[in-house]
Amino acid sequence: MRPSSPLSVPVYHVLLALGDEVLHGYGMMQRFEELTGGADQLLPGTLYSTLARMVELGLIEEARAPSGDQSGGPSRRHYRVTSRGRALARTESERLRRLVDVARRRTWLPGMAR
Amino acid sequence: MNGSRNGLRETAARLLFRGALRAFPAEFRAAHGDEMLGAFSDALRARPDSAVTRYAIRSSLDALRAGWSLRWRQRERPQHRRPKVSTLWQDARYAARTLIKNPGFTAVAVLTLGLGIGANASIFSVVDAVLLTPLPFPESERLVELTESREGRWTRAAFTHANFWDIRDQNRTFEAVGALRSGSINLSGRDFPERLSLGSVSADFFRALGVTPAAGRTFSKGEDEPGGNARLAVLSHSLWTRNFAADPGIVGRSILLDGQGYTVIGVLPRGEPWLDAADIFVPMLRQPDANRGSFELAVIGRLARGVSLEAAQSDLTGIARRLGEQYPTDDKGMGVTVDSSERWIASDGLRRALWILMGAVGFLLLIACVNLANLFLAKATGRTKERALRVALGASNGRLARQALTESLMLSGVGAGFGLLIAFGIVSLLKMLNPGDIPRLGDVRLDVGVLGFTALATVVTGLLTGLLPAIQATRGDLAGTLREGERDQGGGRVMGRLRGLLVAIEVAASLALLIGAGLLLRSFSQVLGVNRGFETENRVMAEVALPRSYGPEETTRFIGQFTERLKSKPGVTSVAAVSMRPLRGVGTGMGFAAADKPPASTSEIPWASWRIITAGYFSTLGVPIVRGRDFTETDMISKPWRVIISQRVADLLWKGEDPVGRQLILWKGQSDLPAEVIGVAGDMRDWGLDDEPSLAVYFPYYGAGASPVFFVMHGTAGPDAIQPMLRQILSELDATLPLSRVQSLEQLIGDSVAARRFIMVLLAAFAGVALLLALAGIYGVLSYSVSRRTGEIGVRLALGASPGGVLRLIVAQGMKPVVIGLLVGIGSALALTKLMASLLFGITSTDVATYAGVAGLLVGAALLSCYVPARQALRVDVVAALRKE
Repeated sequence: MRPSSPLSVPVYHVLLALGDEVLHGYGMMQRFEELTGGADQLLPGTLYSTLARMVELGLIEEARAPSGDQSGGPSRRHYRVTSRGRALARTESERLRRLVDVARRRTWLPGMAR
Repeated sequence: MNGSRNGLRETAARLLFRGALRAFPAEFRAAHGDEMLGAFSDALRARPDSAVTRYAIRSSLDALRAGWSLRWRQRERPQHRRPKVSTLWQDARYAARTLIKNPGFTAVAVLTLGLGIGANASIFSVVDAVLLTPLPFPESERLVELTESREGRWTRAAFTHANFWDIRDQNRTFEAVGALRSGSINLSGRDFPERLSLGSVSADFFRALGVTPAAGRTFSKGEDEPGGNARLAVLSHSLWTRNFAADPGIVGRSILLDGQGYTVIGVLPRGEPWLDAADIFVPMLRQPDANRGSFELAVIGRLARGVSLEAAQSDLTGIARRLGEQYPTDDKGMGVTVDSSERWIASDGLRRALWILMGAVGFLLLIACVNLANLFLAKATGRTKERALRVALGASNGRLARQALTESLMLSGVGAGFGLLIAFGIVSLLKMLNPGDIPRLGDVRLDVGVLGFTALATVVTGLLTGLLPAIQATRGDLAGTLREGERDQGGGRVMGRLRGLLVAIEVAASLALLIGAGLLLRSFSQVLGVNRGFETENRVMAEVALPRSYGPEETTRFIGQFTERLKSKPGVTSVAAVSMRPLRGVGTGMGFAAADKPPASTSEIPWASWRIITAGYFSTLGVPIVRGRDFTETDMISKPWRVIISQRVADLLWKGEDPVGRQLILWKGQSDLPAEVIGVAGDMRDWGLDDEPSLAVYFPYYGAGASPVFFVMHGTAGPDAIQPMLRQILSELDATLPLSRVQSLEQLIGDSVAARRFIMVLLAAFAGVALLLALAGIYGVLSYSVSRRTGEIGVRLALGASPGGVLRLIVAQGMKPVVIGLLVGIGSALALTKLMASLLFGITSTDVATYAGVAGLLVGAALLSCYVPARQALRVDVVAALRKE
């Protein structure tokens, strides 16, 4: 995947959900809903196939579960973002910010400066 | 209340999602499925009741989409297919290991399957060569055979000359119609004279067949016209290779036939039928005065392109009707039958016999499969624990079933290899036993078609034997199995019933086969034991063919001198001559009637065969002269007509009266010759032992010119002793005369029943093998069940059951499926043996003695095979058995 090309929506969502944490799949679903105020969801089918692909692409990697986290039971895989994933997330966020700026100038979004 | 409804909703939602997960590839599901389902459940629980349904549907749709898109991406990456191949390889290796580890089981299985598949391959190779291989002629579906009939009297008779030429000229539906007249001729001018079979053919005969000669040409159009050159000869392929070293230079050379020079114009290709109908073929010239009274032509035709059999039939029927009106004396009620060439190679009887054999080996294979399925079941039951363990370790049901099938297919593959060896042996044996009248038997070989058939039979066998164990492999209470261990699993009711059912099938199939074989066997002994009407012991027959230059006078003189000289030889008591070899199933015939009781209509004219004999023919064959007298040398044929009739003719015309001195009308409806009856002879079955005694009329040889002459000798000298005497006498009388077929009458009888014996021996052999397999099946199932029930038997014995009672219990258990199989088998035999009614003689297909005998044999054998395991049960050590319990 070329870094300059837009990331697929689920991949970006996973990166957003993970942030700098170590989470399992369900944890990501929960976190993403929290972060978006319930406006957006990660559904398990898409989530897990995306996770598998992201591992293959080196955007995330499996990680040991943080001590004290009993939420997922013993058998759940935990993940964290790799440096490559972080770089991509930054680039994508930049791209999106520029787009959102454009949208603001078009007065499609509230809270515009002028 | 509410809680349980929510629980229900959640369960339904989980089911839905789990179903949607199946969209993912199996490997992905194995790695992530549980976690996905867990995450889904957690997410579901975190939601308010009102959102559960919506979420479940959304998630499921999402999973479906994600799963399918993952599959789509993987489709382009072949490395994900690799596991399947390696699974197959694993199964094969596992199967091979299992088979090698159980050499006893494997050997029995391979032997069983080998017998079944081998028998099928060999009989199929015969059916293939004899019935399925097309005729060696182009577009043979357009070839037909034509025969004459007379309304209400007979059908399918040979053609008369005049009728043949008329049909040939007047038909509008044939491309070519040709005729063949069989005879014999002497080939001389070489090292020794030889008697050859001769075919006189019309010019269109080979053209109708579409023959391409191996060398030279065949007869061309117009070479059969009146006054044409009759001194042309076409050699058969076998004569060409036998007598002329396959020299192509023979074409154009001259050979001596009956002392006359004939020019060889061509050589026929190898093949049958017709091409081998004679050693040598000459043109049959059209005679201007051709008659309509002598039925001697075999007629074939090639339909014009696009003409159906029915159209040709109606065309010829029209011509026959016109001929009947035109020549009422000879052709009244004439019809023509058109038969397709399908039956040229094999008669209806032979076809039927071969298909019956094919059915029999099919049964045999079925029994082999059932036997093997039973073995597999027993083995699989013994491996219940292993299987339960493998399932617990994650093997899928499909995988287990596939493995069972792999094992049975592998076995049947090995069995097929062995079976081909057996088939090779059987085919060689068949060729050795060749009764002589099964066409193309020499051509039988294990070719591509047979191999294809064998491959098919192998796969079907593998599936049949593996199916039950495969199904069984996927069922069963695994937890219970693991807990209980292997004990008691063999006694499972369902499995027990299933194996009983298999035994019943085996018994039924082998009983049907045995009854078929039994019926043929009884028929055979009936044929041999039938009252022949003539003696065969110490009787020898020899054939001497006279050339055309021998007229009536020369023939009479030759027969007289030959008989006198032979009688004076040591070991020869009496000698006589006859114009037809007995037991050949062919002969000459005519209509006849009593002069004082003319038949009401032509359709009531009976038909008799006629023979020409010398004085002493009856006494030489041990046939009584019931009334009147034998011929003497003063009875010249036709001067006046004096005849001896057989008892059946006498009974038919003058029942209860003395026929001697009465007038018989010969060739009734044709020449209407009056003849005086001078004697009545005993009936003879001289057409064939399985034919009714013939209605026969005998003429004296004196003054007749018939050839060849068959000499019958009675005395202690056997064929080997007589042959040199005959040669010596011939060299004294006429050194150019060839001698052929010096045989004892016993040999003639043997030859005449050879085909019957051939089929009977084969069917009996197959039935015997089937019986052995069925007995092995009964024994195997019962002894297995006894070994599983030692505990129960021990308890019974400990509680005071008598050994006799236990024995009865075991035997009764073993015999139950046998009895069921017996009843089913008798029922199917009653239905199936109807098909072989035409092969039977002297008994019907419901012959009680055969059924009773075979059923008795089977029950006895089954009891024996139950007895051994039952004895084994009685030797159970009570204490050990109870401890085990």
